[in-house]
Amino acid sequence: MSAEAQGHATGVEPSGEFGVFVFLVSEGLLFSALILGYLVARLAPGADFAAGSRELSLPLGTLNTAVLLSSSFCIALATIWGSERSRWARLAALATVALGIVFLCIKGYEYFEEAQKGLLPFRDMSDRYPKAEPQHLRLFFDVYLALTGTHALHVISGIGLVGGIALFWRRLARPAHTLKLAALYWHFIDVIWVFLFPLLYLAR
Amino acid sequence: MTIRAALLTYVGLLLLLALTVASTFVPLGAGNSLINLAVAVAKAALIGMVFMHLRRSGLLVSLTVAVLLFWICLMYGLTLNDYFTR
Amino acid sequence: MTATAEAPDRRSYFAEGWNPAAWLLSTDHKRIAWLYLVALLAFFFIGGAAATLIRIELATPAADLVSDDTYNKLFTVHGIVMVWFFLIPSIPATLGNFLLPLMLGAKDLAFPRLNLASWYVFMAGSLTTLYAVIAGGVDTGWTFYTPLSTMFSNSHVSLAAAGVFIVGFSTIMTGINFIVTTHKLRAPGQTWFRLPIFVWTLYATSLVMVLATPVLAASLLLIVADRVFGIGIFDPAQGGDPLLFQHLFWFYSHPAVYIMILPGMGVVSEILPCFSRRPLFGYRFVAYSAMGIALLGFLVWGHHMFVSGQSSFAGVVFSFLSFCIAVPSAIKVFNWTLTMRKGSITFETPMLYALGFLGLFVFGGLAGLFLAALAVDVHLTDTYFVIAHFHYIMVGGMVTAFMAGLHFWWPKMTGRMYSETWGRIAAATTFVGFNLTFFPQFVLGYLGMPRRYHTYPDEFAVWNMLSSAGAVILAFGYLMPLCYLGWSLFRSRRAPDNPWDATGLEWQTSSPPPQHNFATQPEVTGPPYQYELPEIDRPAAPR
Repeated sequence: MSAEAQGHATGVEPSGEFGVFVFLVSEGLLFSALILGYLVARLAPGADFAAGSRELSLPLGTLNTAVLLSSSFCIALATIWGSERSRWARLAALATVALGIVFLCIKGYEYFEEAQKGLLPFRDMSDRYPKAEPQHLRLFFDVYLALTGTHALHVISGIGLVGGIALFWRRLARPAHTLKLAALYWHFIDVIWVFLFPLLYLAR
Repeated sequence: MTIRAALLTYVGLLLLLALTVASTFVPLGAGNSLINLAVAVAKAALIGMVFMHLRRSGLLVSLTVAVLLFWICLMYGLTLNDYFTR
Repeated sequence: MTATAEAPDRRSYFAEGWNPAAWLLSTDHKRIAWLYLVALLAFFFIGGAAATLIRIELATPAADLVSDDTYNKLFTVHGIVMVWFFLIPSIPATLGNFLLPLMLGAKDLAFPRLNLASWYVFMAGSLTTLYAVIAGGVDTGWTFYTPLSTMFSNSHVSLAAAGVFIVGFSTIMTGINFIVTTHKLRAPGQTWFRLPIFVWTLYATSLVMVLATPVLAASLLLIVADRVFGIGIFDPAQGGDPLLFQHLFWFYSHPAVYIMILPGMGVVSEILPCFSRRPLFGYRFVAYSAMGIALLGFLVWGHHMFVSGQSSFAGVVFSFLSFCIAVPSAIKVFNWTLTMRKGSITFETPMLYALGFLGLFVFGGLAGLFLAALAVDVHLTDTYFVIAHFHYIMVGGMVTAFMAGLHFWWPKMTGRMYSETWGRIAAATTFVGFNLTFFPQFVLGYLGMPRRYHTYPDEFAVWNMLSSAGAVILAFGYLMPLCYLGWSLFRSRRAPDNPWDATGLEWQTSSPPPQHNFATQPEVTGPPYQYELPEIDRPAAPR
């Protein structure tokens, strides 16, 4: 019972990691629900839903996946260096933030291109579809926007979190520990993208 | 997690990414989706096991992850049960 | 533990001060429980006011108080406020917040600051929705069904949904906090099977909160995205599926019903043994059945969709699973009943409320079996039978249990006793008023009166009048505690540490508890509910 049953401390030490994982379970179900929307649309009989995938830019998508994987690697290095009390930890955290911003920029450019082509499902663009089956194409972009948009919001909050830790490193009581918890969240965002990428970009 | 382990994982992730993108240029029908899904699961497992320390974390955290997977199965199973039997 | 161990600080948590900052910025779980309690009572009376207007309108067949449009907005306000701003957080955020660390023998929750943040998030979300209501109202019903909510409703759906979405965050925060606290902060010797059932039910509730709420967030997100950006995942015109919304919504909202009732079951499991002077019968079964309900609650959501176009095979599966969930609920009822068997029962106010809960919950639960039956449900869907059923569970069950718990732990929370006479009168009034309000609705539903209409044929007039009359009595039943409990804060005798002679760690500390809950670290050495029958009950020998 020793470690499991301390009534005295309201210690973050043993609880923090578990708490973050419980939170990630919640987040995981949020994305699962959205992906369920994708599955239902894709499995609907007769729908040429996946055709929308061909309208996306595969090179940019692949590049973005690589960027996000690199950011995960970066923050993994940051946690290792953090536990060794190395000053490289803070730099690696900043690099993670930079990669996150690069990811958002590329994503933003993709949105811009798609909006130019009249693909994004905003109300006023609804009648400007270039391809034969606008209905299914539109549904694909509905789902695409919902999934990548929610994911992008998570990247933004991850940037805020990791960036905040890097900036206020000296003022935090235990920066390395806090960074470790934030890294779990960052890796989770990466895992979500790992599933979104093939679902959206590779469903040709 | 050592720097070596992190580096190996990173290289592994990039290789898997290359594999899954390359596979889309080979028309295999449903096989493509299968490969993509398998690669995604492998990548997620790598990130989870190494980067998120799931290898080393105790029973409690493993159970938490198991609960997530189980509940996703519940949601997908019972919902798709409706769609497949309409 | 040097100087403090010799002179433990025994001042109550009220001694920390009464200025607003001491309340609004405190991370003490006991103070946050009060913040929640005040906010929730306000929302309870807002929702209650809407219900009052509904019942006044329905007292006569004609439309004489409000228009159809206003009526839609009224029952939407009633539903949204009562479900998300009262019932979901009711027991967990108030009694649970106050008692969980006390019952575990801990100083506070695992994440005290997260706990305070959850209250602010809750207020931000609920006030957003309240603003939407004031700004013109929402007319979709609390369920936000598509395509009504996405394509046809011209009311403030986005704002209201956004508010509910934000409140969801607060629910998840509370859930995470409770789960981690239960795992990590138990006192020495407080093993899982020595935990009070209230802790078990809070734990099961928290699991449901964490696992279900994100799915509600997803569905509300998609509704707002549809209204604002035109992302039509639920729009059939774009190849989307409106039924998917119902799947996602009920994947949350059916388990949410168990978020509402499980803590009530926990409260009753504390009160019945105490006032019967008997250990809880079949402790492990009661504990496991709480977990069983939390799991099975996720498997039955399709019984809300029997007539909405899901496949008939899915309907059969969901119907079967819905029958299954009656089993753990019934186990609990049998155990509560057997706890009282051969007990030395006394009828203090908490016990009266708890007994009321037992009767109303059984009644409402059995009505649920009718609705789980596929064929019967086709007849009863969207009638007042459904209304009566879930009000028996949520008002008759949960609100009664909330009242029971409030009266049971009031001496601990405030250090004051309330008027026992008034308490008993209020408990009886609530029970009578409740049955008079909602039993006629079973009959109305059986006769085919549909829900969500502000007029009805003259044939239904008598039953509706009875129901409205009952609502008046019920309103008195709920207003009375507000008066005498409020009164007790200022003019009432002080409560002893353990007024009910109850077991459990929370009764071993002073009333009200000191700021860090316990003067010395408590230790648990035995199972809970070690009650013994008093000797005086049995006349020993003839004189």
